Amino acid sequence: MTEPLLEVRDLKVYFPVFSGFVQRLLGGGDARVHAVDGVTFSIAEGEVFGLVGESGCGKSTIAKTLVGLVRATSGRLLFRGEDVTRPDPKTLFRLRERIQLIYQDAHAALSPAMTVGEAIADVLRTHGLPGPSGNRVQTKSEDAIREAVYRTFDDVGLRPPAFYYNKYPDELSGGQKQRVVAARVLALRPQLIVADEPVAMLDMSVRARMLEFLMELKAKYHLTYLFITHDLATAKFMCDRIGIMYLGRIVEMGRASTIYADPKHPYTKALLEAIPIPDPERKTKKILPRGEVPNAVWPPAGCRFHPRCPAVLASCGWEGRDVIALLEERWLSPELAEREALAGPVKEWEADGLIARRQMGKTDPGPVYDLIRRILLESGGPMAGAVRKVSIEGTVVVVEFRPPDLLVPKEAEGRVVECLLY
Amino acid sequence: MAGWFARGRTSLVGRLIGTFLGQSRTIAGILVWIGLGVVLTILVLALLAPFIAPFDPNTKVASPELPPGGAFLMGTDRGGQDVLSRIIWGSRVPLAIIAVSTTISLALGLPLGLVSGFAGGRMDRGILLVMDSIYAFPGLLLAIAIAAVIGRGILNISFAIAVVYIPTYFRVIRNHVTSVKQEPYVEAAVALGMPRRRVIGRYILPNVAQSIPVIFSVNAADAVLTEAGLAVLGLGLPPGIPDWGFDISLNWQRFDVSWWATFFPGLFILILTTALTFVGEGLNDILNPLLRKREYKAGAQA
Repeated sequence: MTEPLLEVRDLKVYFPVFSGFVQRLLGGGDARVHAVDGVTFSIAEGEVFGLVGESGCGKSTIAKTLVGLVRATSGRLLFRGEDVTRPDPKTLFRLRERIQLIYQDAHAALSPAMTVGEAIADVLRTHGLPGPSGNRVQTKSEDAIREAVYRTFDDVGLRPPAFYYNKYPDELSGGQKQRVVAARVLALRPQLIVADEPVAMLDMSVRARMLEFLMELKAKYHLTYLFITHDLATAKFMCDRIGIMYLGRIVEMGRASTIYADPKHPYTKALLEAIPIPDPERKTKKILPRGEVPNAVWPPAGCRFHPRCPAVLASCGWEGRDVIALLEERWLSPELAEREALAGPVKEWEADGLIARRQMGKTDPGPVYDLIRRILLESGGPMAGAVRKVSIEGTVVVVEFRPPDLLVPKEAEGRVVECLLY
Repeated sequence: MAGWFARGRTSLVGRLIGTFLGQSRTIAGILVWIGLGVVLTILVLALLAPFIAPFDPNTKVASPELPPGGAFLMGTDRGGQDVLSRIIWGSRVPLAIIAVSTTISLALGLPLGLVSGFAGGRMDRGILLVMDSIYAFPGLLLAIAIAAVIGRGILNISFAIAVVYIPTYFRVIRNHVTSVKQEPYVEAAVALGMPRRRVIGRYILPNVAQSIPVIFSVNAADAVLTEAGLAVLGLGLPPGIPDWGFDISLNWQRFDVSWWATFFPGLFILILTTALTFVGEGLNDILNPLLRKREYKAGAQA
């Protein structure tokens, strides 16, 4: 097997949450956003690898880490076998000629105070002109630079180039701006292009054209793409292999055709169910995840998808705060809220890892203990199965869960999937 | 380097002027035109003083304290000097001080603001602290202190006024930079491997530059007042140089007898500062909504 172009091994990127001085004294200072939390994948030369996930799942953070805009907290990045996890400035400068980014919002990615021709000329002034054998030739000749900009414009279909050279981004359409951004990147003759939602902001009508254009560029310049999107339909069109991301982890990864034909992870299934099918007669029940994406500062224990998963098991990672979420959801119904008022309000409950507890003070904890047992029984399901015990400790009612089963990515039917079901 | 600068500057200044001309018929635009007209008139007066002024400003040309009229349109002062001639010659001082002091403040405040805003972190906090402590001082008081230490002269006074205004340039530019540096085009420039200096000079500066003309005019108006204040307090220029502020300090005790010798210099200070304020306020209305409109447009596209 040949060496992959890019290899990402157990990449973790955490961002500190800025807290005030007092908060730091009180010990809240180690809060970190777990943007990317142990991601492993590799991309072969000439491949289109897709990272698919909801907003906030960490896919853009991976893109930024690859071009050195964000530092990896741990893990390794290998480009053609060379370790580029923490590059020195010179390596980074060279790396940025080989890995480049295409942004979602082409309008915002171009300085409004610079003509689009200048935007590309500036890149050539910094990096030199692309030479015949993949090298770069520094030049001071403004004429040569202008020539090169014209050629690049011509390559991306902005014709006549001289007409576009002196345009400001304001004066171009969305599709044209995306072409300018592509031209700016191509001026560097990169080998890997990280396309971060390149068509999300374009009109439906230009979207397909833009995707075809990206594929044309790929063929012409022998590019490899890391294609980041939240849109499974786009990914299906573009990608050879895809990785489905949820809250900083890849939950399922494999050949796109395999995954689309037969998704394994409940999250992948839910995403595929959510694709609208233009058929008014079609009436199938959609199994969609409940609730919202949890906060990445304190990601859920066990499988991160478990609080929302339609196929959840008792061993998936139930913990203290899931009890509180259950109470919150339950008491949205006024009758239940009234009948079970004794156990409330929700804010009296406190979660600590696998434990949820309520301080009763001078009130008798007995009735609350009975009530919470009944609620857990009544709501049943996998969560109740995960409870180790409900107990009274002094004046505190405690619900304690069993620790989750170990979750590791596994090979299953031609793809890697991270779920206890397999 | 020269070519780089010329390209950046022509497009930048051109764009600002273009924006202004596009809105020159609005109320704000008219304010700017009036202000510019007055300032230019005073500038012409100052440049052509030797030809326009009817008398030598520093010699006794008639008996003291003659009321306005006849050969002396604005009367004569305590020393028998022609008030009009002194006003015409005196217009050179505030204009010179505006030119020198704003140049100094801009030359220090702008780069400091750019670097501090872009770098962030400890360095930013350090520079901010120094600038805020200067800013916390009442401007005139600070200028008095500096002028008292370094003495008289146009350069010295300009320097005193410049120090007062450095934090204003710094603050406005720095805050603008901290917001502009979050823009994807700045991030893209970094990702494209642009050196830091280039990112600041080519990608950030042109997008924060619309703040500069506004601070400039407010700064200029304030410089005129501060200079006059220093002169009134006796910290102005050495005697012998006609100056509006100095004339006020010379004549104000005789206001009940010869009001004209105090009134006219005061009136001209008022006219010049008002005109500069018109320019500043008008430009603020014209150049800053540009910013708002652009944000609106970007939002609408999303």
